[in-house]
Amino acid sequence: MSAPRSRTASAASAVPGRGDATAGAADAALPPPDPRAVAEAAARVRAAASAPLAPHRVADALKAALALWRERGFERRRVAIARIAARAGFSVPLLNESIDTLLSPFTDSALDSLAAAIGGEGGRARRQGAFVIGFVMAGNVAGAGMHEVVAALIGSAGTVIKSASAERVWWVEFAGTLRDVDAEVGARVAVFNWPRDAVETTASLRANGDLLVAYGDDTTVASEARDRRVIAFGSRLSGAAITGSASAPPDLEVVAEALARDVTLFEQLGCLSPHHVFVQEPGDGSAAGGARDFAARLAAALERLAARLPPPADLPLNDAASVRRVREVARWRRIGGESVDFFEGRRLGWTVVCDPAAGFTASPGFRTVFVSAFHDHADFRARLAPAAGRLEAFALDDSVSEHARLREILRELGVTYVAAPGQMQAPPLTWRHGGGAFLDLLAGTLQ
Amino acid sequence: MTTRDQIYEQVLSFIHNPEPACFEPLALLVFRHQFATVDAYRRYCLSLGATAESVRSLDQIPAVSALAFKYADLYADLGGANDSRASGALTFLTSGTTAGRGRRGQHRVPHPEIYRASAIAHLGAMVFPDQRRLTMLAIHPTADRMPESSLSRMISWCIEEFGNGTSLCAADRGGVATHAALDFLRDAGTRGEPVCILGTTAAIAALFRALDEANESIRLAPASRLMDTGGAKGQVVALEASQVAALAESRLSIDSDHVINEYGMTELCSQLYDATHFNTPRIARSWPRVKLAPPWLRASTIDPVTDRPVSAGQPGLLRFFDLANVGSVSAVTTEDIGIVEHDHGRDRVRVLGRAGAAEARGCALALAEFAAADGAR
Repeated sequence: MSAPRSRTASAASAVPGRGDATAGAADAALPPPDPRAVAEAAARVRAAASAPLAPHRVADALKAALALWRERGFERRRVAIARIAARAGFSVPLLNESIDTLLSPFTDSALDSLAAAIGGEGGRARRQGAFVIGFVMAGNVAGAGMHEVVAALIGSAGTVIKSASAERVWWVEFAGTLRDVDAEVGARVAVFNWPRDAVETTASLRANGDLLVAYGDDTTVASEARDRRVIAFGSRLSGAAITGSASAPPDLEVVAEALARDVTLFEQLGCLSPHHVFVQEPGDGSAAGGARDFAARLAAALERLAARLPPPADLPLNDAASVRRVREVARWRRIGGESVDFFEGRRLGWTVVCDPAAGFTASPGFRTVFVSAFHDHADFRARLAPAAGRLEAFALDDSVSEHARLREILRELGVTYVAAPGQMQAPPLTWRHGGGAFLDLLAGTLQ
Repeated sequence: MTTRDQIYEQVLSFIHNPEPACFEPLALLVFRHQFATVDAYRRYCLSLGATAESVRSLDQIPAVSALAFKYADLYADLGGANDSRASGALTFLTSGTTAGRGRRGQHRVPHPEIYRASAIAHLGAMVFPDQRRLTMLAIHPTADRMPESSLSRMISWCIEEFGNGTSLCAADRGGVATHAALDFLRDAGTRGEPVCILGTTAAIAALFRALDEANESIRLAPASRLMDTGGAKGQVVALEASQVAALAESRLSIDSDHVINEYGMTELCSQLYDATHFNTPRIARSWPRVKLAPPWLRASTIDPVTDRPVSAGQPGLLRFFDLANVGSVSAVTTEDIGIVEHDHGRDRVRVLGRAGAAEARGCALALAEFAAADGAR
């Protein structure tokens, strides 16, 4: 079966020519699609999803497409990254390493396992017939939503994707790859872009899908989440904890290097990016291995990484002002005599604020990270409590003996993914993003 | 050598008789005074490699973030309680809504007479260019009710200086007494007395809501006027400046040119006001309006990445050098984004909004939501 002629195809083909890395203005000139075009696309992907395809057929198509996307030289990927870099101001090396990391868990065996878990007889599609999932993507991280789209396809859903106005390239190119490797599987994906204020078009997406998956800021998500047919991935934050196990002390240089990479990837704009690192201090904070020591190591690692994965040459004014604000608060608290240290890269490249007594603090992104101390489990919980329900992931170092209780605390606070430092941006395909309701629904365990 | 008293006298003299060519020499004099007397500022300057001797021009003077007033003591050490100025000092606190730490900024003003001179001179030029004395309605607490508020102090000075003896303060710490305020306005309207309304944009929005609920308009006499300040701060649904002007015209019969928005902050002793045909006859009508700085307040815009001035007409973080801040720190970088045009010693500023107030990105949490987390420290 060949890919149907559709508005999807025309929207995709309307993206400016390959290699045109400065085509943002041309993107912006595209008219928003008519609500009817979205309805028609939903009908087409529903029809495509009705075609009897074995789950392993979809998995095989995804394996082939993802294998291409793991290659830095793959044309569609190369074009997408160049254009995202030009539009967002991110460096190509940074985006390449970020995408490599994001895609690393999508191995053949992981896709097979996912197909077995949600594409089998118990899966929703098997029991309820073809269904269509609309996705409203966020623009902060290229490829954000990949876990859910892949799971949806493996779960035999048709997908209509509204890309973010700030990032219109990724899904068009990925859908194109899927069509190239398997037209029937590719026909289950439609990609559009329209501005947030085109409410009738958004309403069409909701009305013509069985489920809407929304990413984005809390205002959007709050309004979407009132509908039972909506799964909302709202604003979430991540952090890290370094324990002070005397029996198995972590190699702080290695941990700092790994966490610096977790902070740096995607310019710290995703929900898996650590904002705050807590370092266990059994006693005096000035002791080697304490928060201040680790903050200095993390700063040095961020500086080294900035040479290899350059920060944006220019930041949008608002973002720059937000990072600057963090620095100014730290600077003046220190001048005012408070126990605060901070380290800063040139321009606004990276920032580490060591505030030993702080509770979990949200960072404005762009490699801005807080480091604090904690003394015991109760203290750790207290530091994180203000962020309860908004935490997505946490890195824990390898001092295993300390971790059972810490993991329990993190789970109680809503953390869905615990990883080793350096692995935060590469969650497995079974990651229970946002609590797992989406995966449960696909697997048929949630109605 | 210029003595401390001579510097204060020169600043006061400049406010009364501004001479643009004298601004920069006086600014450098003020900087050296502040470098010598404000300990935290001196340490900050030294951390940047700036000294009293190395700074040779206005744009080399290190500016502190407005946030600095929350964390450090930024006032001149006047030699202790025996100093007569120290005993007469006023201390103002910021509203604390943006600190995120439950901490309020503090601006100690050792020379209230300079603050008053600055406030009154520019207020007169921008809100009372017709030099009329008017009936006054304050919908923000006056200084006797909220002495720590710089806006309250300004409103009290305004009533003293430009009032005709009839006034009402229809606000306290609990909020605006809208019924009393509207009764006052109805009476003034009946008597045909022009009224000047002074308060925050949030307070005037409360008045408009009350009029809306009553489906009422009050016909105030011509020459009535409104000075509001604060913009979106404190409003659930923010009224744009153009909406305030439109509502003032439709609900209170106040000519939109007589609706003057003030841009000021606790950390600065000088303010900027909307330029309209009322106070600046040749100004073009546009939104957002241009705000005019007084001659003793210089504005610039800086790139937050480099801390260097941006090209003329380009947006950046607003930075001011306020001679009236002589007793604390004059060079202050705000948290606001704007565009500055220089016009023969009178800077024109378009305030575009608060930096960092953009929508949350994707999974990244809006920082404001974490005020509570910060406050838990």
